Amino acid sequence: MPITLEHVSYTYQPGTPFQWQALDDITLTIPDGEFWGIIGPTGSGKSTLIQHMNGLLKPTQGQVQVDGVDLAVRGVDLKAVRQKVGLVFQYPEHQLFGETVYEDIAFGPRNMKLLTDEVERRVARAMQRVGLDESFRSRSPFSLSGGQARRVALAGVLAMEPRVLILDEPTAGLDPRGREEILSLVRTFPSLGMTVCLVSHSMDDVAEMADKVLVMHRGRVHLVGSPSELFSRRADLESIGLGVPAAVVLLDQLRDQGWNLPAGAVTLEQTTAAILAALGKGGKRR
Amino acid sequence: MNMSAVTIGQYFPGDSLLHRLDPRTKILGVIFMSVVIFLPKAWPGYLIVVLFSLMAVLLSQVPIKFILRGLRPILIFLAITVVFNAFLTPGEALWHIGRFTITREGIVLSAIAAIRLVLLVVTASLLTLTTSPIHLTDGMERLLRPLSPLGVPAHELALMMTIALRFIPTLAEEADRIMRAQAARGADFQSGNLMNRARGLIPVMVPLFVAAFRRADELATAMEARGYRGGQGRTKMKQLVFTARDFAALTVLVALTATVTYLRVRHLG
Repeated sequence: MPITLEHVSYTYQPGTPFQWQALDDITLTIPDGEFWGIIGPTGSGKSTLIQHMNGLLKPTQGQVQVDGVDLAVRGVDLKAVRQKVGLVFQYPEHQLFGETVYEDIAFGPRNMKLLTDEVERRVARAMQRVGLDESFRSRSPFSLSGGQARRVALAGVLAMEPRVLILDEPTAGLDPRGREEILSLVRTFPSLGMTVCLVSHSMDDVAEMADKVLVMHRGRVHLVGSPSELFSRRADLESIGLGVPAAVVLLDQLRDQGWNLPAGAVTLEQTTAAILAALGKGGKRR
Repeated sequence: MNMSAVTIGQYFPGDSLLHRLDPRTKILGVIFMSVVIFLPKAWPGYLIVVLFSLMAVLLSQVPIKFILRGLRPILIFLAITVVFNAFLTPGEALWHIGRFTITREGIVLSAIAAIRLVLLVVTASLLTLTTSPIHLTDGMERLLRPLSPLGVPAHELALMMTIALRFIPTLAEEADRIMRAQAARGADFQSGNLMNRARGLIPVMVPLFVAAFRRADELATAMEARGYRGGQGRTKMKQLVFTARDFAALTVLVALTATVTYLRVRHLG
């Protein structure tokens, strides 16, 4: 289910003094099964961009296609599109409303007009996937911890069994443990055959998980590339207010010290391997 | 679903004569106008009131589009008033539509009702369009202050109003965000009968209330943390001062009221 954007522009409140162009001529294709990281400074258009991918926003100009279907065409079943392209907003736990965790997670599947058995099955599977055991079913979503509530919200989208999952900063505001829980969950999505778009401010997370990284800046596509291509352009990224993974900074500093290190390492593991290799070659190992 | 369609409480930034008037002048102006609008008995009086309001609109330099947008919520009310007045007023019959009759008197009454309603909303919108919420409540606080010995909590009322106004756009935005999040889960707010649509709002209202309480709580804590303890002994960073402009505006308003009253008493307008 590839998602294609062609010359997409979007303006908020056009024709008023509050007019604001959030997207400016975006063209890109997210192929099936890839894991994309979307990064960019605040206000660069990331959130506006992802809302175009399931038809929540209609482009002011240009065209969005999901699985070859133009979302602007009259009569397109947007509900079906939103079921296939799951979108998890920032702080999704703020949207919980059900009396019980079960009711809340069942909201999406019920809107799909599924049979009760199927709803039941999907809720159970989604809860299992996010690591919530049976005891949570009848609890109120308002009695949960931040991390638990967020997993309920994620389960609410997963229960619709989307083929593409878009996550807007899923770890914002969580403690390290909650973060790790969500991230290890996100890592499992590609193996389930899902296409993933992860909007994040954490370069380390993006470097570790993404196949491709999209850098947004002032409503435009600034760069697209693999993490190693991208994070080799440290000065460029820093000039628009972004950073690079801590591992890249470490390697740069070691290079400044005269170490001979190969380019392209961006994750912790790759960096460790590169440093060990250099140590081995240089005979510095004790 | 766009909540920004609500003009009341939406300030249109600008630097026109109306923007620069003291908020007290403008509040008094709206009070004057809401009386003056109901004074005329015949067309000369209405002509003066309509022309005056039109002049105020032009002076505000707010695009007509924004002012008309404020009329949208009362359109249905306006239509009902006009239709009922036109059909149900006894008098000289003009047209027959089925069992109903439109009378000359009915049309006149309809027109008067429509003019009054529209002018009321337009003047009230002009106040909120040309006065930032902060100035507005500041003005109200000052106007209410003489009543505080009588037990009117002027400062507290003003504060509540400031906070309420301040949170209208925030909550509207929040509602918008929640609606989009639920739409992403297949919620449908547009189709179905009234009952279904009302039920469809539960997934929006519950999180919205939760968010409102959370915000209220956080705001109270933040205010206490900064030592807020009510209006006593509190000084203003920006003092409101009447200028020549304000005296001129008030004089014009008094003159308008006097003229319209004179016309009415003399049965001229």
